[in-house]
Amino acid sequence: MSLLQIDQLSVRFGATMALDSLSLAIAAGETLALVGESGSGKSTAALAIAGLLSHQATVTGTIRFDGQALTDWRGVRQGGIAMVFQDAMSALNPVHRIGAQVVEALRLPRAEQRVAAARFLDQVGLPQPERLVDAYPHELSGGMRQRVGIAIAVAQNPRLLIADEPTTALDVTIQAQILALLRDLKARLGLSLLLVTHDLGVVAETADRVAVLYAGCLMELAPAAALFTSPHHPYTQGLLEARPPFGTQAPMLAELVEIPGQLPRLDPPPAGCRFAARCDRADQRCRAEQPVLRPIADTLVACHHA
Amino acid sequence: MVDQALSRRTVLAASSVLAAGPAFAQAQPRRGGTLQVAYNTEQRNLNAAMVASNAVFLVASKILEPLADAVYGGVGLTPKLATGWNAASDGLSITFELRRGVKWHDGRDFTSADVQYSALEVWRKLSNFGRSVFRSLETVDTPDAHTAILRFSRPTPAQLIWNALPDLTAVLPRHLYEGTDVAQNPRNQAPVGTGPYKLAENRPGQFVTLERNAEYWDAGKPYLDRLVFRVMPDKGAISAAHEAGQLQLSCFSSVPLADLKRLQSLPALSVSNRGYEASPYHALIELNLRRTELADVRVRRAIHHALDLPRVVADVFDGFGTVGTGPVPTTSQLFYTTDTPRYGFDLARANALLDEAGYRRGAGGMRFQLKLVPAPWFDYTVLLGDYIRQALRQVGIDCQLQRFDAPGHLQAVYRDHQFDIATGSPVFRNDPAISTTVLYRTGTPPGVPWSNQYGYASQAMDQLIDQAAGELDPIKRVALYHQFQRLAMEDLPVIPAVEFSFLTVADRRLRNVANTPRWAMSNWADLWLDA
Amino acid sequence: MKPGQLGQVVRRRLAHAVPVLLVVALATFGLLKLAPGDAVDVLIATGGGGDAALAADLRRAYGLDQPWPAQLAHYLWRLVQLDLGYSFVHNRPVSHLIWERLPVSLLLMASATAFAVGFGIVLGVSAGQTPGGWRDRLILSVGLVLYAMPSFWVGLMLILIFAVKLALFPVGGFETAASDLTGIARVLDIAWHAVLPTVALALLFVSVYLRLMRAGVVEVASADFVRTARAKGVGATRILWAHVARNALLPVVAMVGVQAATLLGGAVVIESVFSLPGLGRLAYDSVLARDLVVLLGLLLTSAVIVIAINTVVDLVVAALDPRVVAR
Repeated sequence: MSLLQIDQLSVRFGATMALDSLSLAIAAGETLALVGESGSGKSTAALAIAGLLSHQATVTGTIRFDGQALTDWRGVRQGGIAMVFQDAMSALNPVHRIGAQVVEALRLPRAEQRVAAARFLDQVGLPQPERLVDAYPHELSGGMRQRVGIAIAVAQNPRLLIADEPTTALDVTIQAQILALLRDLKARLGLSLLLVTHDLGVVAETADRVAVLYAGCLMELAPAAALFTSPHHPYTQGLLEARPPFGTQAPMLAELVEIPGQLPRLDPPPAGCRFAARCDRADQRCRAEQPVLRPIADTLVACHHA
Repeated sequence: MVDQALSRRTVLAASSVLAAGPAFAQAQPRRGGTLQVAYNTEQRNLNAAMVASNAVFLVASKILEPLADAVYGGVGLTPKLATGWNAASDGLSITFELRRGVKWHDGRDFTSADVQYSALEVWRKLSNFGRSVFRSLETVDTPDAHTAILRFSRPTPAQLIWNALPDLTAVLPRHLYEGTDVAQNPRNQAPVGTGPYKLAENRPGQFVTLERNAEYWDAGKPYLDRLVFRVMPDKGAISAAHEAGQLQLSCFSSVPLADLKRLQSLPALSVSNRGYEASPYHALIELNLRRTELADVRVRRAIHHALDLPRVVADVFDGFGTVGTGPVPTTSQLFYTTDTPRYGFDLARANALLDEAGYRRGAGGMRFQLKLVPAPWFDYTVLLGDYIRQALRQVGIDCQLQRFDAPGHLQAVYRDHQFDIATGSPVFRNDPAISTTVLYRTGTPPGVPWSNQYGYASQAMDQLIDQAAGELDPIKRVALYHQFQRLAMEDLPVIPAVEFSFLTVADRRLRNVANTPRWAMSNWADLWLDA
Repeated sequence: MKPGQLGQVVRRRLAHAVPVLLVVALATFGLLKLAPGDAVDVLIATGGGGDAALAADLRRAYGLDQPWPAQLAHYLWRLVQLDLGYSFVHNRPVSHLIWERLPVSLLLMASATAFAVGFGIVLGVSAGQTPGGWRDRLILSVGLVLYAMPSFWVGLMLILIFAVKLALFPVGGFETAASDLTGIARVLDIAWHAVLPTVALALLFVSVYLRLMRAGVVEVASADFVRTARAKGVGATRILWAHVARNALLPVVAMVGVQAATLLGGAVVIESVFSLPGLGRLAYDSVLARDLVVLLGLLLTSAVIVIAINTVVDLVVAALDPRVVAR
């Protein structure tokens, strides 16, 4: 049975359909990458799972975690789901000490807090954790801050770790270290990992399966190896062609995609295939009828032409 | 009763009618209690021998005593540190018999040496009004410890001295002042006197506390244990404190005019204008005779005719006042005369006089423009300025109001003469020679407040004033002052518009309130608080 | 903040202060010399009058007959020797006058600041929690009304309601006159007297701080670290206070320093209405009496107070915000 089961999850912000009928599952110990450009709905999906949607969001569909339905979209996911954020500088409270932030939600006696905090900091590979507990965020480098962000997540003893663009703000060498840390933690703690990213390089290194989102819709869901070798959806194909050579720093995807055109407006979303306007294979049917996901080998694809 | 100590001869020599004792039938006074009194304008110098002013006397008169104080009726004087007084017929000496068995608050005996020192070193040299009254005081002889003889270099009217006794003869302890700079003596903030109350604590900005002097010479008095003068610069707060019952007494109109009606309606409080008859004020309208238009007496009279003074008394003064008829107030039984020219409210007459003077109405119906500077001393003097402006518009005189704070007003009016019409508020102190003739006499240099700074110059007036100042015969002297009043109203350099005095707000349980004509400045030895 | 920085902060503040103090002293001196009338005029007038010779004697005694550059030079020379001079109006050294009134003003300022900051924070957080909600609109409206009300009027209204009608507090004064209270009883008596003036003085500043706090709360509430706190399961109350309010507090604290001078100014009126013997009333009386030497002394004292408060605020900000190194 899957650790996380998402069925027909839709999220609206007013008239804007940010996420449209997403269905996904993540197995225990699996790493699923959620890929897409800005506005694709991947962060919305991550926040919905983490229970961090804002008050403006309207949610339909279900999410089951470990068999239990999550009903509160703005509630705390205690004891199972934790999240690591993109910008580790702003994600840490500037006026609280690192140690205090790591163990803040753990309800530990005061005397045990320092030791516990140091242990979590040590777990994410930070040097001299006993000294770091007393440091403030601004005294740390970007990579160290992201490790602290991960330590905060780990401190919650999660089974699913959601990492939202965890390496975007970092330079390349640090990116590799953070990815290595995530893989290591996953292995050591038996975590499932939901990796939200636009960086296909990161995906290739880390993910077991990949879900490609475009304009709020799931376009393709495939094992990582299959996706990279034989992408089925025209959008995925476009993404892979646009991918920079391995190992070089990946700029923001939006700047780099050579697919002509831009994301459609989603208030309301267009009829038919969301990608139709930018697709060179689009025809009358694509513009009229929204394609449903259908299996091709071990891949699911939403395209009339695949 | 103390009056018996006065010999009939002494009183006759004073050429006045003798006072009967206080005629207030009283219940048996109750002993004890603390009185909370508002102290609206805190004074830095409580040396009443040096500074004769209301706010100083309010506190200091309970500690320091004069030779005699004012009472209602008769000669108007009651003995304090002097028990008798006698003037020589040549006007060159006055003999005071001093009270025996009086002790200073520090235990020393009060003697004639104290009077001698106070008169020569303080009254004559430092006192704001004493400097003129005692100008020709030469020596003070002390043949024994209880006799002091003031000797003058020029004949000095005894009448003037008697009238000056309450305000200008506070006696200081020689042993604490001699050999010091009197103006800088720390005792000015913590006076030691002979009075019914002793200073307990003077906390600047907060309060002055006085305690009962058990050794007071008038055995059995005072009745109250303690007086607390609370420094309260805001009049609104004083009225609130009255209403809350946290204050039993405020003198010298220390509540806002706007609150009077409400305070009068409270059953626990009484509001009265009695007890100020010895220091009545005039709301004065000063006309700058340096202005061509105002140099013409017809214009000055026209201005007087344009003022509806009974209405001013009713509206501006809430009825607590009287229409003024001359420089001497109606309350001065000795000097007042009704025989003065009057200028009743008569717009037709005012217009005719202005036409006659050659100031015809021009464009917009206005004849000429004047700068009107209302004095900031009282609500009254400010409001009167507003009234004058309205009233003079009706006869075609356009007034431009210009307001100053206190020092600004003093400089603009009394030093720089930068005004055409000003309001003012001189006080009459028992005798025209003390603070009234100076309003009409020439020769005061610029910069002296409450003197003739409006350019009035009349030889006849100067002669009359000088003659009265040197006249020894009291009856002739009074007659000269009657003439003075007539001439003042004839020439009309200033318009004594309204006579007013202050209001006292008192807890109704207080007994013996306002039982003398300068009560707030008296020693309150007989004041008591009923249960 | 590291040890040694305290001294550095104070020294830097003082170094900035000296030229400022000099300029302001010169300006005040000039303005007062331009204002019509002098201390002797007022002394004579408040003394009930007097003759010209008396005025001349007094002017000579007080040095007012000297040309003004000589008066200024004399004053500055004494100032260099840390002598604030002698007031002839009060017949006392200026330093005594100021020293005697300093505690009252400091107490009033401290209590009003504490009240204003305290209520400003609570109301600002309450309003900022749900921007645009009824509570927010209500609190902002009340704040605007508080801001618009003149403090003397607020003072008199407080007196009428709480001292006269309800008789809960004294009408005015620093403590019960001649009460002979000592120790804790006297402290309580002073505190009881301080309640109404504190509230009257503080209300205006409550509105200043509450709006600042509200704006901060609204802004900080959408910060990433607040989302982090939610993600890790921190309770709503703790998020509000330990994360949102704690960060929104920083500009409020900085504002305390800015408002210090305004507070001193506002105290003039409150001290009069409540019969408190503070520096503000001394300043007001000194203007009316043209008591130049006291005014200059007060000015310097006020400047020192403002500088001291700002130094303290700097230190508090540095303690509250680890990113701020005491500059």
